[in-house]
Amino acid sequence: MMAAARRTLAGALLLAVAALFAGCAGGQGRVAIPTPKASSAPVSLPEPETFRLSSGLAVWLLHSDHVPVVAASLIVRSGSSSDPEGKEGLLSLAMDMMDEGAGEKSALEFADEIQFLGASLGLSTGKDYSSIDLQVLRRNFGTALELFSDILLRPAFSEKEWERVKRLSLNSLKQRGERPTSVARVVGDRLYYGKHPYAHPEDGYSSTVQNISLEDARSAYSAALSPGNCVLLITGDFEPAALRRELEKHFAGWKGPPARLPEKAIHSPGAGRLARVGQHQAQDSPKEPLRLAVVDKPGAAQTVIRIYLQGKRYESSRVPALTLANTIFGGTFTSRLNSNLREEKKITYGASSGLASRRVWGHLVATSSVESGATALGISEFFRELQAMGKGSLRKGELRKAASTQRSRLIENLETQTGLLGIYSTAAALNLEPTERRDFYAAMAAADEKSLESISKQIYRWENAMIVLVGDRGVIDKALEELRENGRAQGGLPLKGFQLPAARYFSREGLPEAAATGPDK
Amino acid sequence: MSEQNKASIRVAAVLAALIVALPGSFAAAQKIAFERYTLDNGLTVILHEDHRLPRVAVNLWYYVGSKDEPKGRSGFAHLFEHLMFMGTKNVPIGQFDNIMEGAGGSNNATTSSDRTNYFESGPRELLELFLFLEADRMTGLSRAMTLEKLDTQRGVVRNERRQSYENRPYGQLWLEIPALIYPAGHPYHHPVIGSHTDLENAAVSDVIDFFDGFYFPANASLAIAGDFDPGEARALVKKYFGAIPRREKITRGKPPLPTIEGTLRKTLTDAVELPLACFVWHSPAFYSEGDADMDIIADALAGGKSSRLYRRLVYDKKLAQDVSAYQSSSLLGSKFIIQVFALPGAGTKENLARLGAIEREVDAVVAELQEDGVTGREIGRARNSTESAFWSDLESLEEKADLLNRYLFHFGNPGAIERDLGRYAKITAGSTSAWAKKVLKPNGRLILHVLPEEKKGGQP
Repeated sequence: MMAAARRTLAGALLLAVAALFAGCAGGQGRVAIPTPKASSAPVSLPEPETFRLSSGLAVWLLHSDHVPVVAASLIVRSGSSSDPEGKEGLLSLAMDMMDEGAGEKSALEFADEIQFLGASLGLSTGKDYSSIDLQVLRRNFGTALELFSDILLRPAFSEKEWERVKRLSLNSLKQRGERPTSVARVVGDRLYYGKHPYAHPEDGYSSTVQNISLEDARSAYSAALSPGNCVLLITGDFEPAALRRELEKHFAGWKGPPARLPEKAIHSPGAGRLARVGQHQAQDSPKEPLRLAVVDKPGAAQTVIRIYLQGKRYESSRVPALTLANTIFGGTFTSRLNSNLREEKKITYGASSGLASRRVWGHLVATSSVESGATALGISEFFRELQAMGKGSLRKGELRKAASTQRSRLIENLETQTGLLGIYSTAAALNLEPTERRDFYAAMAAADEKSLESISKQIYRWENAMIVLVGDRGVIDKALEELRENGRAQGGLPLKGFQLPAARYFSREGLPEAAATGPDK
Repeated sequence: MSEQNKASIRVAAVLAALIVALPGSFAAAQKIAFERYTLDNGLTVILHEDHRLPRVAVNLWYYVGSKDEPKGRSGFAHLFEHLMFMGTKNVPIGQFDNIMEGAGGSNNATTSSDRTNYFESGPRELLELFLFLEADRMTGLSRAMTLEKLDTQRGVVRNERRQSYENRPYGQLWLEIPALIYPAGHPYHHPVIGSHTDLENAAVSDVIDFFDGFYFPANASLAIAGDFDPGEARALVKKYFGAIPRREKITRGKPPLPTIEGTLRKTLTDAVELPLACFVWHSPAFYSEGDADMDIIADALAGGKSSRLYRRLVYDKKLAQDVSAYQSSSLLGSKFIIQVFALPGAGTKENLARLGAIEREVDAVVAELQEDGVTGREIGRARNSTESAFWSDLESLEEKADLLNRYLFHFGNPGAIERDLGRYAKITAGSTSAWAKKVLKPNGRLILHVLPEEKKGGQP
């Protein structure tokens, strides 16, 4: 599958370069740009060997022996979307507590031991799932595994550490509010997902974290961290049977309910409606009207523009084509967004877009920090690029570029142990077959212009976008007025079919603020 | 095209170093096999084969950084780096990246005070294209320069300044430090990103002068790593770089290491929630005597939860949210930096009192370290974690190619891993005690405070 795609790509490349030269014939003393040959090396995605321990924990083993190191990810099939209402941030806080003392060791002893081994241990919570990541020298793996099993099976959850962890967590929420790009994400997710459990940030809000007790955290840990709710992804130089014996030794006492997964569901963005997949097949959700949210950051040197578009569920058959379309739109340096806002308009250091394809639903986000004085021009250019993309016509060479880029990124991921695990983490979390990624890459390699055009028409729609602006409110209000009155931005082209709804104003955590009472300067 | 993150360079170097002290099985693996030769025009070439995946990486260092900028042109070395992507007579504007990405390649560049590196990677079939594009801009970048190109990248770079410093919490700290600790006229007196005024004043003639002054074969080194045939690679390098005229190497003097008399203090305000105390000392230059000791000292002070400062300030005294320490190494002299984010108080007065308390604790912890040096366990811990990080760097072709060039730049030999390692093998409690006393002087440092702006309203 991959090999066929590569031949196609190479053919396209030859044509494009030839065209480039034809245009330049007659140039004085020009040196010919070399034309790369088609990439001929096959890319084979290594497939994990899978087995289940007696505790019920599933293990996906990927062999690697290029470095004397082991990388492992325990994927926990619960994320912040499992937080109860009013206690947003709970699972993240519970995960933070897991390495704050475990087994016989205090928090400091535990940290010291991990560091002494040259190991790194990271606990992180996402919206769909969480993970505990370990990297350690192969020779220290046995000792590290013992510590790893301590935090899974025997975390202390002590009052003393709780007081500190909660204090640090509340302060880091304050720090989050200082970062304009983080503010744009928090506010944007909250408005885009409405009442859906994807709406809140993984680390919660100040007011909800305040509500969480140590007992809450302990219960959240017990509910999420059972062997049936986890998959261990691991890579290193292992003989499978020997690894299995070693894992059995450490995880034998791990008990919990049998494998389970939250029910699959589809979601209509914004309205917070949830429906079970069993009742309705995944389908296009009703389109939301254009929305505009503003967060004040007095005196900001730049305005963060963050635009939400509808996305797709992770398992949607449209994701491969959408991934390629979005590579063209804002996924590389020469993408349409970056070429326009950075290299042509020179109003930003970079503009990009990315997909968040989650279990239940997803979104696509296009973003840039533009200099304050160019806020109107920034908005105008996002509009124009969205409009062009929504028409669905690809430019010459764009599909080839997107496919080559995705193929190269895959090969680059195969280079490192963490890259290798990263390829499989979402499939493991969503209880999909390990072969799911192979099919995904094959589908991407087979995607044609038609499939990209059709998905682009569906997704890249200004009229259904949600726009978040974080910057100086006075500057932003003036920019919006300029766009409304003139139908164009200074330095930009007239905008056809452009509309802009009334702005609504929000706090840094996404709560509505009165329209007329912004802080004065 | 960001500025160089020097912390990451340090990590790689430290890691490489630690392996020497480890059991025999690593001895063979610690080397990056390479072939080195020099073209007639003075360009050093380093080849490293790695056939694990069908990829190739090219990494080109130019021995020029912000320290080489002419007066009134701060930020120019980095601006110039951006201009290197704007095309030549052979490669029309915009095509450098288009051609590369069209075939699955990707590229970037970074500028530090000392050097500028350009790098690309992708499918092995792109090696010739990479070499062509690098040689082409080394040959004739300046001949195709225009004011329009300059204006474009000037706009981009000024937005990089806004994004990375002005619109980032505590960002102004990094703009302030250079002029506070380096005297006027010292090559490190200004930040790599430069000032808006100087960036605005840059002209096309500056581009031509800078290109002529620094962008030629003998002032650069080229590393190729990955899945290629060395015979073919040599032929391609000769074909594309061989005809570039020879120019003589630049010889530069080293300015004396500056000193700080007494304790220099400055207070800034920013739109932040947590007050910050930042302590800065002059410290030994990259790879010079004491540089490795300072790495280990930084790890003992603030590497993780069980480190000395974290334990004291966050755990025991409950004064701080977080703490970090690092040796920021550079060619002409380094900086040793401790940063403490304080827990927020109920106003400026309380914040200042807390920063005062933090300073006393930092002084006490540093004094203990000066007295006894780091412990055996702290040395062991630093060795293991740096070894791990070293292996993780060696997984990547890009990192390996960059490391070869870095060793060549600093040691005159791409294979200097062992020499680097040797520095760490020598570290003892006694040597760290001596270096801590010599560097971390209570009178001879800069202390910066960043205070939250006083709020007018009551917005949370």
